[in-house]
Amino acid sequence: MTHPRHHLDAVIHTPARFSIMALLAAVERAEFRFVRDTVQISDSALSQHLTTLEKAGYVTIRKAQAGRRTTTWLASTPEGKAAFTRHIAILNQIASPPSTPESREPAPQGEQSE
Amino acid sequence: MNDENEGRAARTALAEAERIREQAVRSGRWFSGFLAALGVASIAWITLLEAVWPDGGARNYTAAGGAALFLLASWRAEQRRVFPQGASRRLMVSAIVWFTLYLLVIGPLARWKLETSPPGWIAAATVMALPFFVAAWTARRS
Repeated sequence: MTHPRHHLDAVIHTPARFSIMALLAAVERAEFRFVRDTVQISDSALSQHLTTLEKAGYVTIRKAQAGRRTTTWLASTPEGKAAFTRHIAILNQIASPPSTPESREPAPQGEQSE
Repeated sequence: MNDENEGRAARTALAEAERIREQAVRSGRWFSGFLAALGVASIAWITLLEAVWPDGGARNYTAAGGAALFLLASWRAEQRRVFPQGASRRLMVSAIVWFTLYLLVIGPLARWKLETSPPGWIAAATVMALPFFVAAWTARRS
């Protein structure tokens, strides 16, 4: 049996990308500046991580004109959401203490089969 | 890295994901208020249109004013930084149901039975606005 860590998504595993996916998986869409402020990274770092996530098919980037301002909307794709859910499930496996034979309660003596 | 350290790192990552998720959900709370406001505005609009100024130029101005108000509300909503899960679907479904009720079901029935009675139209408009309130309630709970 392989350790769960081997199944972690390499694209999402980076802390900044993990935080970006955590945010985008929880919303329909979020504006670039909101993601930048919440994840607490620079514009350029966010752009780089978004390019990686977009290439992996995990996020979509859409530019929209709102008056004179251009707004960049970010959203996770269904594949991105599924990958993030899998990643979280694996992290939960790693985070939960392994059940060892010593930690299991022994069966009562009277119920043991001869 | 041993299992204990990996477990600790995983728990830290999970806590961070939860913190960000909560912040994102909090930032999307405005949407349920927006849907409820649309419901209230639709009640006022239909009552003005059908009971207060049922005919003449005032009706046309009210219709145009209401449409402009809805466009302005949509534009203001687009200025927000976060849209919660299912926001577009909730807005579209509630608007379609509201419009169908007004155009084909309750609207014609109320016009026939209630004529221009303000209390009657307030009640009818409240029933028609229910999709907005239900959507606001489900958005708040999710």
